[in-house]
Amino acid sequence: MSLQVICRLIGAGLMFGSGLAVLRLMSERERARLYRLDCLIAIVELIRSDISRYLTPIGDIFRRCDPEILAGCLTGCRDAPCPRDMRELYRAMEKGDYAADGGSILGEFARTLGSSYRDEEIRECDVCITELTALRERLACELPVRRRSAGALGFCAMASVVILTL
Amino acid sequence: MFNGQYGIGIENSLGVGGGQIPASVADALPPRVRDDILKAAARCHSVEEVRLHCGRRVTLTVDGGINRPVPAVLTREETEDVLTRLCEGSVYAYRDTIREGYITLGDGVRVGVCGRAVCENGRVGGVYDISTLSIRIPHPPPACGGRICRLLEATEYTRGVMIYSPPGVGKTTLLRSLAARLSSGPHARRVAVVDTRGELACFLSSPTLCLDLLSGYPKEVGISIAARTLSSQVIICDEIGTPAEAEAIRGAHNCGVPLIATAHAGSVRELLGRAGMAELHVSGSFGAYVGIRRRPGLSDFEYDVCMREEVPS
Repeated sequence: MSLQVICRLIGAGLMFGSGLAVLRLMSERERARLYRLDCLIAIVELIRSDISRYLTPIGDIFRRCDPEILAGCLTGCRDAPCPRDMRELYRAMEKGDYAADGGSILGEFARTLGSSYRDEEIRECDVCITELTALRERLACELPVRRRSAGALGFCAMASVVILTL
Repeated sequence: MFNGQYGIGIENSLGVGGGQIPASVADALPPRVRDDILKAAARCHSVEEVRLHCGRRVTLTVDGGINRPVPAVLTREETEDVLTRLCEGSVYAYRDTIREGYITLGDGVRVGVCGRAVCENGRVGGVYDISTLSIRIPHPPPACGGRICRLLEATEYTRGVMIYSPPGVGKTTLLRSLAARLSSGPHARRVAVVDTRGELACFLSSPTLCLDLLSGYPKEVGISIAARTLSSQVIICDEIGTPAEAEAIRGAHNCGVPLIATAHAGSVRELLGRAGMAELHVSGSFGAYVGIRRRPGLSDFEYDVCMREEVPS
């Protein structure tokens, strides 16, 4: 086998490998978007519960919150500091990769959270949870389709590059 | 003999942000007017209150009651934003005290809150459209209260002392000083401080104090707990005035625990005209009634002492 053929085979193998990696990354990214929404819903539910039962100040809720949930909310936000309240969380998320997912819902919620009394806060939390849950369901429905489309596109691109290389 | 030297255990816990305004307050002020207020405060000897009025000029109450306007006007949004910041972004957590017309910050700053009250069944359910925030700045207690301690000793701690004065003279500051004096030193007593509004406790965080702090309790409940379950030797309580509180003080007196309390009044006669006070006088819960006045330039107050036996019937 000539050196040229060996090089082509190695090149095709590398292209195939990197294609697989890209596919995997795309799939993980879709899952991460869903996981982040799960964490956001969890944190808003925690805020609702703590306000409803104990009237806990926001700072204390964030201090006592499970760090994994906070980290989950900041998925895709590189080097984001640990947020101390909803506004900080929203600001950190704005700079992240998935700012579009629930960004407007969270922005409005973060802006008004803590500025009114218990009943109003609980209503705001309920609205936010409902909207985030609807978004999550939509993303969950879209996820298999997105993964299939991404897979098909990626595979076709990979195959055509391999064919061209060979 | 006094219980310990003055100053033991009194701590200055305030971070000061410009002039004499605590950092917790300075940080909450709108950036647009913050500098104006801090500069005006820095020019005064002692700032007692910062009054923020929606749509009107900010005023500083300084140097013994002078109201000094600051050329800064807050909008409604700014006033409400200040309240939200003072509440650490959690107004709902302070709803109960906002309904009572105040909030207390961690460093003893008390903020009077008024706006448009919405009532439910004759009770204030919430306050909206905040129009005024009256931020009262606490001060480290000066060397004062020796006279009150001597009065307590004169009755061998069997009767309490009622301190009265018009608002803003320094009753709360005097109580802080007394709490520190009585609960420190080689002859420290077990002092219980019933701090319903959370403003007495600041400057009293030293570990050397033999002091029980009943924070947030309704006064009558706190007094009862201090007398019956904490075996306190002296109870300190600010601003009494309801029959239920008077009843609790009588209960503490019957347990043999003297109480140092304060009330708004201009004279003994006016004081004893209040609900429940005449009964307290008859029961002998207080051995002396002490009116206080400020003395310009001096750290201690001017005391107008009237022993129980001297009160005209």
